[in-house]
Formats: sequence, structure tokens, C-alpha cells
Amino acid sequence: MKRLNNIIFAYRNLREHKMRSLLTILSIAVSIATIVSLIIIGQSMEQAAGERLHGTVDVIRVFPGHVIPGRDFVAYGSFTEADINVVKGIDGVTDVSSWMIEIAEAGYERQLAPVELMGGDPADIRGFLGGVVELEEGRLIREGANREVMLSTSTLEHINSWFDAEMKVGDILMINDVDFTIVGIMAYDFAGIEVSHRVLLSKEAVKEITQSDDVMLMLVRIDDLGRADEIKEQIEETLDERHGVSGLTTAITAEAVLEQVGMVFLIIQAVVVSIAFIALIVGGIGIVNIMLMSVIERTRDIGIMKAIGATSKDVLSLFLVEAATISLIGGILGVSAGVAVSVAVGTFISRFIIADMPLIIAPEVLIGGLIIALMTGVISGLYPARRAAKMRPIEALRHE
Amino acid sequence: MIRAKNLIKVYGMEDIEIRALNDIDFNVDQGEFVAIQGPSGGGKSTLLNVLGCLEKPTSGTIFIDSIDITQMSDKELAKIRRDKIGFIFQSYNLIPTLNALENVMLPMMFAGKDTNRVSERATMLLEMVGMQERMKHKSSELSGGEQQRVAIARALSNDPLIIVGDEPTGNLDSKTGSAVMDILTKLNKEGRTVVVVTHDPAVAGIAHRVMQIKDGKFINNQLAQEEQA
Repeated sequence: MKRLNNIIFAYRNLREHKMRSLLTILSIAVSIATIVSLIIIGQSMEQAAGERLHGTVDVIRVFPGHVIPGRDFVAYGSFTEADINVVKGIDGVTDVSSWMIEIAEAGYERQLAPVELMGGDPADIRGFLGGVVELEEGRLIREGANREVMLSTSTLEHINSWFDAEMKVGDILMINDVDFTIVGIMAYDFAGIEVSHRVLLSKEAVKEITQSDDVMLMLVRIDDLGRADEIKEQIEETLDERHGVSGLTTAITAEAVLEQVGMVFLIIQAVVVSIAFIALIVGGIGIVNIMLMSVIERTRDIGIMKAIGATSKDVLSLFLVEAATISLIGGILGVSAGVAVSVAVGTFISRFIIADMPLIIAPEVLIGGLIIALMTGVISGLYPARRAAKMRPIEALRHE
Repeated sequence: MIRAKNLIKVYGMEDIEIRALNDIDFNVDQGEFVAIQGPSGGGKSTLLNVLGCLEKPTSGTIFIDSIDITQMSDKELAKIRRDKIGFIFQSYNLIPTLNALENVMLPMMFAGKDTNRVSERATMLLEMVGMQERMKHKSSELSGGEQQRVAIARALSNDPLIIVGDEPTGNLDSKTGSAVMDILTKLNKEGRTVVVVTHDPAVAGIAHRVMQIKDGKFINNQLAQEEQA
């Protein structure tokens, strides 16, 4: 029997059971949409985060304490000028930039909000922070200008929502009772993806308003990426020894951050995609169910078709095409919905999490979605179709 | 055309054994019109199903068009049913989701024939049985007589050698029944072999030969053999 005819026949039967077919199509569509959108969003976020971090790929970050990435930081103290000079002397290190990180209070019209100050040498901003400080608006802090601050877009949004204000470049932001001028807005947050309330200003300004001079972060530029791990370990050992601790100094290579970001996305994707696959299995069982009902309802039709000359293979292909049609329609709807959801979620992420995240829609993902849907249908349809194909014509004809 | 010898069909459910066909010999020549009569449960339908290749006998041989169908696989039997036999049922047995035209097209589609020619031939056959006005109607929109005429057109779709009818007029009133019989008679006159099971005395009147079957055996076996001799 010609395939086209099978498909016409299958479609006709689907129309006979509109609601039942629709629900099954829907369950397949939802799981495919979930899988497709998660993969698109995941890939896009990973790519965007990776790109932002790549700007500082030859920079090792060093903290005076134990860092549990993304969770905790237990400091044993702070870095001294002498520490910085020692690190500068390590083989393979080309430059070191030292930064203060302090908590302060931003004020506006008698309201207060916590911000994290990040103070360094304005000359180091471009060189050590790289792509992350891409300017959305305004300019970088001038050297020697100790009353200028830069914010990230998300910090500005947070401060504005706390204060119910509409501050912009050129406005005055009060930090620890000192007036600062907002000179620039960074397109991205410091670490590329983390949502922080970080304000960038000169180290002198931070010292002045916090009465502290603790260096809490060293950005170490190296000349050979291939030796990153080796240099990182040497920095850790040297600083541990100087501070009389063991295994506490934390140096993080950009590559490690990249790997970690990748790993986090992988775990998230694995978890959610496996949930989506469970949904898909449920959808598949739905197809088995609808097809079994269809086979039982059409027992007599199957008997008739066999009596007038349909082979078992004809009957098998008829039911398989029907299952495949359901799942393929579900797949097409699901892939379309998945792309739509990705665009919507991508817009949200671009606005609140990763600024200007480009959406990566790989054709493999779309085609893969369709193939997975189709396979679900064919595999689920196999058992009911075989049952239909195996029916004896006489017994099937007696069925009322 | 049909040469059946020592046909035995046993339906068994553990201890209880029913001999639906009890050592039957049965021959039908090409162009013959044979009616089979007999009480319910006498073996009429079983004989017809076996002759129509719908089920295999427990033992014995059946040659249809010189082919021994008892040696065939299910797949080969399906092809015999498709190409050599046209089945007409008491309850019409049209596929309810398909319209008249599609029902007639179906056996040709199973045979893998070209869709355009299939549609042409189905139209021609429906015209022949006088159903040209109702080709797009589904079976639920057709009367019993109309459904049976569609079923006859369907039985003819692959140009079979033998038309097998199981009470083809059983569900019809005498007027529509005789219209259906007229079509069968016409087909027989055109050279097609017809075998029908029927209670209808009118049908029996038209047939060349009437066979009585009871308890799995022909009652007038003698007569039938004499006639053939």
C-alpha cells in the first residue's frame, strides 16, 4: 500500500477522535518544547557566559582565603604590598592588579541600601577586567578622580528599584555619606553572569570612605596560558606560606571558571532535560494508550481490511503511520513552541541576568526535536500496531 | 476453478470438539453460480471462509485457480484474497470512516496500484452498480441496499476470479435484495464464478446448483456428484 494513502487514512482517523488525538499531540508537544527550549537557552547562556569570561582568560584571580565557588568565602586576612610584590616576582607572572572589596551603604533621599565596592587602580580597569567592563553608557573612571563610580546595568536597576529613583549617568550617588558621580554604566556584571550589587571605583576612594586598606583580590596576568595551573599552584603555595596557613589561599584560573560555568549549565540541563524526557515517556505511553484504544475500536475494520486483502504488514504500517503522524504533529508544534519560549526566556535573561545574550538556535536542536518526537511515536506505536497486525481476520470480523 | 477435497475443520476448546466441516469434497467450475443452503451451525459459513481463504482447514486440500492454498503462508493468503477473491458480507462490512469511493479504492490500494487509476476504476465500478451519485457518502449515510452495492463494487475492484457471498441479501428487504441479486446474476453471466451462502429461496432459484449442508456434510452430495459427472 502506498505510503501517501496510509497517511491520508491515518489523518482521517485522527479527525474522528479530535479531542483524544489533540491531548496526546499536546503532551508530546509540551515535552518537546521543554527539551528544545532548555537546550537553546542552556547553549545560549553557556556561550554568552563563556564569551564574557574569555575577555580575561589570561588573568588568575587570587583571594586571601578559602573560596567555595558561588557559595562562600572565608578570609584569613588580606593581602599586603609585600604579598603583591612577591607574586609579581613569580616566574610567568607579567603583572598584578590589586583590588579592595568592601561593603558600604549607598544612600538616596534618606534611604539606604547595601552595595559592594570594588576599588582598584582606574588604569587597570580596561586591562584586567577586559570584556566585562564593556560600556553601555558614559566612560571609565579617570585616574586620580576619586569621586567617580561605575555601575553595572543590573546594579543600577537594583539601586533604582530600591530607591524608587531614576538615576543615570551624570547623577550623584551617595556612598557612606560621600557624594559620587556616576560616570559609566557597564554592560555586564563583573563575573559575567553573577548578579551582584557591585560598584566600581578607585582604590583611594574606597580607602577614604571605609577607613580600610585591605586588599582582598589580586588579578594576576600570566604570559603562558599553558602554565596557568602551575602558576596558580605556585601563587597559592607562596601566599599560604607567607600567611602561615595551609591550603587556604584560592587562585582561580579563567579556564577553571569557564569549566565550572560549563559544568553548572551541564548539570542544570541534565536535570531539566531528564525531567522533560520523563514527560516524553508519559507522552509515549499516551500514544500507546490511544493507539491500543484505536486498535480495539477498529478491530472490525482491521478484520474487514484483512478479509479484502490487506497483509499484516499493510495493517502494521497503517497504525505506525498514525502513531508517527500524532507524534510528528506534536513534534512540529513542540519545536515551534520551544523556539517561542526560548525567545521569551532569552529576552528575560538578556534583561535581568546576562545582558544582550544572543540566542543560539542550532538547526541540529530543531531537527533533533522532530526526530525524538517521531521516534517516540514509532516506538510507542509499535506494540499496538503489532497487535492489530496479528489479528486473525475471522475473529476480528466477529467483533462488534 | 475450486477443487476442494477431504476438507475437515475442527474447532476445539479443550475437551469439546466441534467438526464444522466433516470430510467435504467440493468442486466449482469456472463461470458457475453455486448456492449453499443449510441450517445455522451446519457449516455453511465455515465452508465459505475456508473457500475465501479467510481461514485454513484443519486438513484436506483446496486448489483455487490450480494453486493449493492450504500450503500458503498468511501473507500469501492475504494476496489471494486481495487478487483472486471478492468477498461480499451479510452486514456489508464497509469501513465507516471512509466514503463509498474510498472503500472501493481500498483493495486496489493494498495491491499498491497507482492512485489515479485506482480512483478511475473505483468510479467506474460504482457507476456500474448504480452508485455514481453517492460516491462521497460514508456508509452511515447509505441505506442497506446501497451499502451492499458499494460492497459489490469493492469486491470487484481487483477483478477477482471468484465472488464469494455470505448471505449477501440477508439484511435486505426483498426489493433491494433482488436488485443486489440482479447485479450478481449479471456478473455471473459475464463469466465470473459466484459462490453464495443464502437462506433466500429466490437466490437459490437463480443458481445453477444448490448445495445443502448440514452437520458439516452435504446432504445432496450424491446429486451434486451426479450433476458434475
